[in-house]
Amino acid sequence: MPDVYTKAPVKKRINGLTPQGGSLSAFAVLPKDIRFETQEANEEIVIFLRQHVIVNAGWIFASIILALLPTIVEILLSGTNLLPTLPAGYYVVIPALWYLGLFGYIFVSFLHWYFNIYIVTNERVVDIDWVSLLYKHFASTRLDKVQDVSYKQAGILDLFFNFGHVYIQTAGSEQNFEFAAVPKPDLIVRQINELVEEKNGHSL
Amino acid sequence: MTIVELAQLLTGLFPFGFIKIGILLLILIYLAFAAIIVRQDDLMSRVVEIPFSPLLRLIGALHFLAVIIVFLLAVFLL
Repeated sequence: MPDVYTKAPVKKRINGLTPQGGSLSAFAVLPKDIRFETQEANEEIVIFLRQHVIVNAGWIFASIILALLPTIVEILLSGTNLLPTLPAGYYVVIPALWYLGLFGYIFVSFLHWYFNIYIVTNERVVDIDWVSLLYKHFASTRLDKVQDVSYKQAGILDLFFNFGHVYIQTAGSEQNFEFAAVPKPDLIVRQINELVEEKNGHSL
Repeated sequence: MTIVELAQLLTGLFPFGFIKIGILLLILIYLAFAAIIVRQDDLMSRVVEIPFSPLLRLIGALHFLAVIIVFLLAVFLL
């Protein structure tokens, strides 16, 4: 029988969740094609998170302004004598340098969003931060060390776009975790609670 | 010849020479920044394997290449 007639595989479910979201998404459930550095063989990513897409609005807006700035300046100064007379080469190199710098700014801002990742697996919670170009931070804690999970949504934007901060407190001297500006914080807290309950045999 | 006279002579001979040197230095600093982006992009792609990451590595490499091209343009056009 041709493959097209075979039954589609049943989507895997964990705690009532079905796979959703792609590799560019800020909220992905049970992503198949994502792995991280220290992931164990029996470990499965349940929730894969980045900051909500709306946090990128600032640099996107700034980039649009910076992209239009040379044209605006040229229009404003074209009728005056304020534009310096430069050799022809400068009119090639200076704009090229400007837009290259702008591209660098956009690219780094995107990478900063793209690689700041929070992961909840069936074994632990992982926080991967790319704070700056020269500083990377990787932290994880096992689910049985989690003592309390809470979230905070403050402000119009948080409530309108449904994102917020998730706080994960861990036992003893273990590091506490903060998932900053993640989408659907209520759902994340509920899922972590359920996973911890499953792991420990009791709720938080 | 005093230093002031020497500076006047040089700026007379190469009126945009100092600007060119400044721009070239700026591009060299930016080249280092572009190299750091390529390196960090590569490191982060190893920390988290995401299908979209090879494309980002390619963009980082093209960005680095573009900086080299602008540097060469500055050397020959300015």
